[in-house]
Amino acid sequence: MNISLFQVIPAAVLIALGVLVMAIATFGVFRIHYVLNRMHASAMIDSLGTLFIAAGLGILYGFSMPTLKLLVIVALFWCASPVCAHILIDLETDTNEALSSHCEILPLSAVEEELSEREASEEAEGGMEI
Amino acid sequence: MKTFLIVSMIILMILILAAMIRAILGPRIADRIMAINMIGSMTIAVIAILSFYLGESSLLDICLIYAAISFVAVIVISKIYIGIYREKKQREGA
Repeated sequence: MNISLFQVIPAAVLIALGVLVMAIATFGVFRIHYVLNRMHASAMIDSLGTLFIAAGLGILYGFSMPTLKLLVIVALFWCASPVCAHILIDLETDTNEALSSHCEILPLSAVEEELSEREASEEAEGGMEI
Repeated sequence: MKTFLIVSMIILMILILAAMIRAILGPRIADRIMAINMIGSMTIAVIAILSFYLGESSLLDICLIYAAISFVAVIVISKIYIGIYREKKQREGA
């Protein structure tokens, strides 16, 4: 397989970025203390890290069948990862009895009330500025 | 290029080991499942890089199957654990 320097440099940069994103995500998983927050760090691996590495390898492979396979892998990841995260959050919120010690839990009506109050106050501020 | 691919695979292996430590430490079961999911994602990245390193593009099919299986595994383990937990709660309540 003939690879020119114009392919090698961007591909190397993209793969290095992918590995860097994965390293940052792993570091974040150790640094953040609660699982619902940790999930934010671990989701970076599934979306950005995989995209960067697939893009880098796609540049190396050129316009061919393996590139299509890499695209399919990324598409599968982007569909599957949010579903996985949703079900994991379901697991955590269903089984953790001390959830309210980690985060504030509001009923839906209270959230709606707060949002409408915030909107009203923002509108009032906007009116003042005009 | 070959050296660069080897180095990136080695770094990913170290990250996989770190994720394994998280899976062992993780205080709650969701931590462990999340760490296993991370290990799966990074393994897929390693296999994809290895496929170019060895010049065997058929390894990418393995990547695809690995992704599908790790996705199903997370869903099944979570659902089973939720079911077991609810059953236990019901038995304690009765």
